[in-house]
Amino acid sequence: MSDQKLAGKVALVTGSARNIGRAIAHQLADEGASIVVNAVSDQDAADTVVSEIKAKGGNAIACLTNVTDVDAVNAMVARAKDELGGMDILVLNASSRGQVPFLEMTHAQWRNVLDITLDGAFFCAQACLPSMKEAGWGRIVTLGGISWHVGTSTRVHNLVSKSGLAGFTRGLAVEFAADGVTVNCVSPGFIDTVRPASAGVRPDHKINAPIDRMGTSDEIASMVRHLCLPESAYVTGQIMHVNGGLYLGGS
Amino acid sequence: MSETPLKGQVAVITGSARNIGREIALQLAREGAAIVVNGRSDKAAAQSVAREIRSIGGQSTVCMADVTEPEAAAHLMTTAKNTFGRLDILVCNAAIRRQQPFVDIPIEEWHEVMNVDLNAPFYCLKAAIPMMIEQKYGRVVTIGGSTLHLLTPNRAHVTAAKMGLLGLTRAIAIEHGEFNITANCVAPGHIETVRGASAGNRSTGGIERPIERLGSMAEVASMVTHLCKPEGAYVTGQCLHVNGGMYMGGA
Repeated sequence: MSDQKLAGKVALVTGSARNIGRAIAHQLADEGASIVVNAVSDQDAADTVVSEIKAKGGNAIACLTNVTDVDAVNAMVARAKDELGGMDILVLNASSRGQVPFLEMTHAQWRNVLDITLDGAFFCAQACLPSMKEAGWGRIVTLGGISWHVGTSTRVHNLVSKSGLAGFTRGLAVEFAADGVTVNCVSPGFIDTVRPASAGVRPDHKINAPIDRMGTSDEIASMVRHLCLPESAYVTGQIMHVNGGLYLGGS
Repeated sequence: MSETPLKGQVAVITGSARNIGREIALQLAREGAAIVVNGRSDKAAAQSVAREIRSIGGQSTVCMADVTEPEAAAHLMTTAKNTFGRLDILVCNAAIRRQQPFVDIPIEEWHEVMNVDLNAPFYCLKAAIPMMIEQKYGRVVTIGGSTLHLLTPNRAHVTAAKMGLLGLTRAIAIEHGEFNITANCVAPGHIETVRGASAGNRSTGGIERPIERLGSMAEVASMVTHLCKPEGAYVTGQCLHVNGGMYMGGA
């Protein structure tokens, strides 16, 4: 492909062995970026994504790393810089969703979601930003969610972590704007992912979306990819909703 | 990835003889769309854009029309259909900006701004949407502005009209999702356009931009282009800010 706009860049996509993360890894690879495929435990799935990317002529490594472990995150980023030659794009996709009525929610459940979504983002961004700053170019994209915008019950931990992640996004956007790093959030609506049992059934908001179907992982990934392109350098601190019009944003 | 994802599609961009509209026309043409270049009075400028499109191997025609006239707006859409066989993309870009303290705004000036910035998009959409419904496909992008989101003084009419345009955009999105029609607003910040005398000075309103430079027209156009591609199908009813983080949206 002659038209690759991210050739020479290195991207870390957390939680990219399946679903939306996997689609993002593929689309960034299609633009020429070398990819760190990250998963917490499923080596086979991560290896499969790496093989798929390599089969298309791309470059990728698999890295099993729990993003809540700061040492492991630092080691993953060091390995990426060593083996792929840099760290230019960070996609904070890994998260955990559970459905638990608030009064039944254990502190451990609460902590687990915040650890993955927020602390994981903190560790990854701290590990990746120095090289972006040094290069004078970087892209961070966080994956939000519609729950905290529309209000969803039995997901307080998710709503808190995703709204916190939006604040994280904006804070970094302002702080690193002068370094050529943009930071944005892509917020998916209902997407036809393969849901783990822990995510529970898809909540029914009884909202009729203008586009009356679920979105695809590729439709989320294409917005992420767009934000990572050089031509998106002037978009920062934003929340981009890809949700079929289910929620129209606060404008 | 196809190199011309908009091949076979037809786009009308109002006010595309110069500045952001021109840049949108060129980018959509590069993606393969046939373009109807529209201006109100500067035919030479419009023809020059049309020639530029043909010189890169694209298809284009010029339709001079004052879109504040309902018949002229309808004629513009019909021109697309008669010349190229269909109408897939409408970008409502034509606008005027005035600066005037509220108490000094003459009633004529209020109506002038309403006519260009809000009534004209309505006339254009009124003619275009039935064609899109018939095709069961369409992309509408309106060009908003940062004025209504920030505390910009002396632009009560522009603020009101652009706020109305956002409402119109959302209404179009809500009513036409089932026909595969999306409607979104792209809101530019401070962009390095050649400003008409009527626009007055660039209003900073004391706002600091995290990304200090002005944005380029290409950076605004690339977001419009992204929304018009097939992969943008699940994004609708949104306001997407391209402003260097000057305003971070209402989440």
